Amino acid sequence: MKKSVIFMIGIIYAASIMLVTFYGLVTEDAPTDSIPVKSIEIVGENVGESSGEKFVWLDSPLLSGGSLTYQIQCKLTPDNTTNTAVIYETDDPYASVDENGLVTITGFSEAGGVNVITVKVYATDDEGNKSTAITDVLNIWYASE
Amino acid sequence: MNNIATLAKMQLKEKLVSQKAGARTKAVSGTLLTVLTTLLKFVLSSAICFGLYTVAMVFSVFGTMAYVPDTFMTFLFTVLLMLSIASCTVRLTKALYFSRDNVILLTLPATPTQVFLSKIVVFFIFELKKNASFIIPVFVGYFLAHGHSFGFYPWLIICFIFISVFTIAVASLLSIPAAIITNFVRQRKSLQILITALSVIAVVVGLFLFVSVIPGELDLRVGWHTLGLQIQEFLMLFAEKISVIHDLTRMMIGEIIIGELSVTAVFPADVMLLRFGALLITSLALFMLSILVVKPIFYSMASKPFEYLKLLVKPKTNIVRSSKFTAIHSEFLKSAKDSARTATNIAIAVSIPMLSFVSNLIFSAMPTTEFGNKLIFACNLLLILLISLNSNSYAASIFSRDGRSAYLIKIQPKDPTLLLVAKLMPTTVFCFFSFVLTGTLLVSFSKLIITDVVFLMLGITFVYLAHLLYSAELDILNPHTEIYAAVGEYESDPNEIKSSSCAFILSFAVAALLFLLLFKEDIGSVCIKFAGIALLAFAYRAYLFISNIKLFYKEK
Repeated sequence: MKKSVIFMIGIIYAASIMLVTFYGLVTEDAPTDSIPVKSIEIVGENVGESSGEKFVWLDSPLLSGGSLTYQIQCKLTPDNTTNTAVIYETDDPYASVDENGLVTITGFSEAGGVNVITVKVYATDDEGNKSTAITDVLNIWYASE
Repeated sequence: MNNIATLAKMQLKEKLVSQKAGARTKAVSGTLLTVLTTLLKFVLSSAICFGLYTVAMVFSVFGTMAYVPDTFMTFLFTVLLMLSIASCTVRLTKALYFSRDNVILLTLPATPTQVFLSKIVVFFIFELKKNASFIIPVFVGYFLAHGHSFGFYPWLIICFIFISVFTIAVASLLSIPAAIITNFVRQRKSLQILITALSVIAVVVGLFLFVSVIPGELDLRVGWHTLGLQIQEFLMLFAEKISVIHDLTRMMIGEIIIGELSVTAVFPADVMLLRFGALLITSLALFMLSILVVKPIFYSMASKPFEYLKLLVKPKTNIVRSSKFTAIHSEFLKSAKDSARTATNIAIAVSIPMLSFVSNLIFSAMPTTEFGNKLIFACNLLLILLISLNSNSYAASIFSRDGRSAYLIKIQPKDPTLLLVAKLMPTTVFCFFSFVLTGTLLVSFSKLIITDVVFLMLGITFVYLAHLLYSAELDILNPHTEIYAAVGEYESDPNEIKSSSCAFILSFAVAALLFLLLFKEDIGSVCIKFAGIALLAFAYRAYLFISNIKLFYKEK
């Protein structure tokens, strides 16, 4: 076999590996079929339910000038949903909630009494928009001194 | 000087002028054809190299560089120069000391030094021709890809004239120990077997070492940028170590200046001419040294290879075999005694399964899609066919190589078909062995099941046999016995070129056809259909082969 033929076969050999590399491999960002959320539920050890609404009692009271925190946990159905983002909202002026569901309470409306903060959780759709139909509510009860 | 020119012309006339069976073409048109063919090869090679450099720049093979670095050209030139020197040494050793025409040339009224110089001149012309087809286009493609000015092109040719002188001078010095070793090994069969066995073991060990480097999961796209930077680092280290060749390379390609948007090659005359002067002096000094060293020993070394044949051989009892078996037995014996032929057969037997093994190991480490699996099937088929069909180019000159004893086939009281087919058997046996091994490896390392592999390898075997008969027929109907009788080699044998071209076209056509069929049917039915069609093609080819032989030899 002539050297030029061996050289050309070598080039074709390398080219075939490159061809398979660039046109025959699974691409990482290949779009997969989306699985929408069907329901969202607030869960946790101390979370109870009354009249269709979830509630939780915070053991420690809120001292003047202090703060209380509580981590909300959610369960999405189905388990393999592709829309795992959750939106947390509260209208209470004495509390805030971050994007991970950590509630921080810094004040109270009634000193020496029982207070409640309401937090709403919303599932999201394929575009990441809030889904008002798939939602749950948590009432956080706490005492103040 | 006249004697040297006459001797050189005599040798060139046989090698450069193309001949047709039964008639000589005119010397001028034959030489013109050779020049035109060389020019065509030069243009084609330059275009291919330009394309490869452009692809390398587009795919950022050398990291973030938008050009091919001069360190890569140094690496490429080093490899090509080493290969050229090795190839030159082998061919020059053969031409100086083992060529059949020495028997005539040394008896002519010319001194051995004149014969030696005439051979060097002939070799120099062929070396320039080879460089024009192969190495110079590598640089021309580089110039085209980087927009070098016109002045670099004639400068490159001037440099290569002296690089060719350097290569031949080194090769002629190395030819002396090479001839001594060749003579020593040729007389000892056991040593030849040992060297062959060690070479095969070295290749297999090298293969396993290479295979151990391949990771379990491979995705070249992910690490492409890192790979490019690693390539750059390796090239820079290489250029530092081989600074002499790096300077030589930069002498030819100029100094590369990297701008914001493009690269420019400049020609600093003082530095370039200094390097050229060093090349000139080194080449001429080595050339003079080679003449001084070879001149006193050339005659005795050139006549020795023919003298050793006078050694007495113990007579063996003549065994009477069947008339059909004798032809096959003698062809296998002749093939075994030709060490170059045996080495080629072993190389083909080992290379197909080896390359198939490596490529399938790489492919199995990649996360492929269904389309990718079809591509892999087509690539496997293409590679196996390319190597096996191109190995048939030897069959396109197998009868001509008998030289003036080719007529014996016609006068023997046997069916010429049997005698002609017997010549093809030794290479075919090695190829069959290679196909069996490749099939076994495909079952183990590819995603094909055993029945698919069996039908695929059957199809490949029939295609191989059909092409083998086609190549053999080319030589039977258009032999070049006179050229092989005179020189022993025919570098541009048109039959071999036709066989090789057909091999490429057939390999691509079959691979493309089966690739397209895979979109309509499953692999199993595609392999069965391929085997069936290949069998029909082989049967038709065999019928044509036998008919043409009977017609050519006027059998009734």
